[in-house]
Amino acid sequence: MNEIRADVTPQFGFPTLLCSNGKVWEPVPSWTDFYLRLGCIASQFRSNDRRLVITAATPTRSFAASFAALGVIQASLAAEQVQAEDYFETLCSLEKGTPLMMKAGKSIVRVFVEGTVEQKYGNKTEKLLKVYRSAKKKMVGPTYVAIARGSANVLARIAGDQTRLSNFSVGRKVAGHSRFISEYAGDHDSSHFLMSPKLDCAIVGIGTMLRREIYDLRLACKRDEKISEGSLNDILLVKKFSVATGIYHADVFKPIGLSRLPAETTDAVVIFDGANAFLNCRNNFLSKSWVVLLDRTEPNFELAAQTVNQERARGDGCSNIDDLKKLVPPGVEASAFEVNR
Amino acid sequence: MNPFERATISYNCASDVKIVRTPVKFPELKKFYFRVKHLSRALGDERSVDCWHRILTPLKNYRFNLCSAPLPPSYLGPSADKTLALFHSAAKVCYSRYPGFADHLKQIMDDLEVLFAVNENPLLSAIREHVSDSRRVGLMLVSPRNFDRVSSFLGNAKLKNTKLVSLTQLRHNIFFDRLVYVGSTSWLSDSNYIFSAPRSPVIHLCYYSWLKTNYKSDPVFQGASLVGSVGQRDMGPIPSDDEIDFDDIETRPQIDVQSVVENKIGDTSTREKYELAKARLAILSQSYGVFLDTDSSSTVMVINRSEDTNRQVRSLPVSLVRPGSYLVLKTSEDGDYIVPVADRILGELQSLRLRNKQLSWKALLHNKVKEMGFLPACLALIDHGSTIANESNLRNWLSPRGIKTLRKAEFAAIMKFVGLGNRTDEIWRDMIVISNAHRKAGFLVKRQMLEKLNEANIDKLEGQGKLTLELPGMDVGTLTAFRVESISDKIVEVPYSKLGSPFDLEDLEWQG
Repeated sequence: MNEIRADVTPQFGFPTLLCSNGKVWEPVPSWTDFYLRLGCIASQFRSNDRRLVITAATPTRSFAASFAALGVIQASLAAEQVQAEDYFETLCSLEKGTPLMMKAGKSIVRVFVEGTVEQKYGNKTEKLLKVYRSAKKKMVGPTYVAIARGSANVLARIAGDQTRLSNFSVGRKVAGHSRFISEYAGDHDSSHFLMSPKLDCAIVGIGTMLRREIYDLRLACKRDEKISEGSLNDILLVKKFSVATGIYHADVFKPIGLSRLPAETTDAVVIFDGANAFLNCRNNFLSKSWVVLLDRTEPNFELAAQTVNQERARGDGCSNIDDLKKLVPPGVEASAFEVNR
Repeated sequence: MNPFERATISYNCASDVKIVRTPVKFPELKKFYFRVKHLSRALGDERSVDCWHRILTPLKNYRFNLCSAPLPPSYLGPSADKTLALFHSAAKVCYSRYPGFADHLKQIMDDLEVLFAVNENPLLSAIREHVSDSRRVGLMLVSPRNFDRVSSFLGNAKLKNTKLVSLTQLRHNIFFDRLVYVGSTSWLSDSNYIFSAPRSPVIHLCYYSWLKTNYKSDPVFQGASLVGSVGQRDMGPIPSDDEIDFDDIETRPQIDVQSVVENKIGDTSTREKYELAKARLAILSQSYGVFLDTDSSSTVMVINRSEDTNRQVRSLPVSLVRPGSYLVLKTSEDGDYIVPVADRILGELQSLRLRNKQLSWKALLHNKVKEMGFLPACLALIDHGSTIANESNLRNWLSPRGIKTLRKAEFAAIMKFVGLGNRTDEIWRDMIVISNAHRKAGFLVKRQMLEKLNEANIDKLEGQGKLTLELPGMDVGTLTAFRVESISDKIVEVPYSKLGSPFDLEDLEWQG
């Protein structure tokens, strides 16, 4: 059994991840913070007509893209909280009969909007959203459920690729979202995040290498002296590695030129893991913000760096990433600029 | 060691790296080095004349081998006398035709005789001095071709803690207490990562004192950028206590694409356009080269060591082949290695029948194109219903490697064009059979290759950049995996038969 060695230092509101050295759990190295922050910055960048390009030349590719993706997801999870207040009102404004997904225990079932009702608690009146589930047998009427404002995150809009979700009460099993993400998210409510598939982050790179880092490697986080184990994939929910749940927030694309994001993906951040990924695929992701991670040892490093510089020349000056200054790991050079979409 | 620890070492090495220069004096070699250089310069364009080329190439090779590896000058061993005799006989031709250079050449021959007798290697003594207190030392060689030779020599020199390592291997997360590089830093123009992403906290540069050693790390990105702490970024000025060859980049073998085309392909101006494919020259490790088709639909078998074991061999579009990729090419004889396996799958009779059909429609198309020319042929194909007929696609359809078109409608247009319109269905079906056999053959070859790769010495592949793979029972001849060192930007026209067949470039390395 692994022992706890180091204290967890919260960063960006999330605990530091721990990795095992075979004997004890210890915090992942501090250079991972830099990549986390790169991902966060790229994800938080908002502009209708411009996009952000952050580039880093690194002495090794290991974990750079994976942690940048984690940074994107952290920002995305944090943004969920801001939107939660508006979310209940959005659901209430849906037309009667609109299908939704509802998390019920370990299952997700399809429900339909009925409308809003008001419930009195003493002097206070609370608005509730009434939804119903179709019954399995025609003889039995539908089951109604009233959802309070604070519980709205058990409901999610149905994405285009989930239209085959069962109409009936059994629903389908949610293939075990690990406790790891709940522990990792802590005060950030992950319920809605875990029910709503949305591509927040596209990693363009070699799937096998990314799988080893994201899916195979065991990590842990510590909250209230308790250790939860999992993998980066429990948080990133990479579509390619999480087929069973149907819920994803990141995906891995092959670095061979044909990869494209689904048309409906609007604000995803694209992370290029290496020179070949960038050189082969950059033109497929022209409207997105980029994190370009170039390993100095790659054969096409120089060419990719020149290409980044050409992109910069077409852009409009640099973007300020000075708050990253203290985080830049040894041997890394980083730069950022904005370009028109 | 967990993978984070490995990566952390990369960052630590970058932050701590110290580069130590160790110039080594060797007056006899220096004399020889500069005499060869001066002779080559004095000859100017004449150096490519056959008699000079025959003598200068081995002289330059010998000079490069001595300067880029810790080999004793007598490394040729018993064959030294024979080599010297060959030099003398080649030199005689030069003396008679170019008497003005006779004295210079005679001095070089004298230098060689002196060097061939030297068994000690001053570089090796310097290396031994630096590595004696380290547990794990990596000896970097710029050229993989001396790997075997140096490896056995190191064994004899009892440097047990020293491992030979190629520049390519240093792209991975492997680490040493010390790294030793032998030679001029000018030869590292495309491998600066050994300093910017070092795999050791100490890098020793052991070099002959007249070679240039310099390294300065400049920012990679234009404009403002954040730079993490790094160790030594600048080696400072080159020591000036000796005569420095500031053009020592010339002493590394270089390939001139045009000379390769002239030597390996010959004059293509007399050939018909449809007989030629557009290609790029890929320079492979161990002084080999290969012409790769530039067509977007062309593929080549590659080995990708970063993939899972069962996916390391795959076909990749040629356009995605980059320096550092490993290409699998047939080296025993010319031709494709899939075709014989596919033919065996089809069976003797069926393969004969189907291949005849394939050849016959291609021959008819050849004749038509020869008769009409490319543009009128494309227009005629469009008249017959093709929607994609253009010069590039027509070249593909003419290529002996192509079996059929992607869509039947295009194939029907070709059949109508060549007068086989009434047999379209029959020929299309037969071409599908060939195509399926090729797919199965590719799968079988890949499977066997994976098995062989699992048994093979991967260190050898990464160190030497070349690995021979015999696939018993497949009847495909010898396959060899080569590392791609560089790919020329220049597009040249070569006959289809020359595509994908590797050739030796050693005699052309000093043409430029």
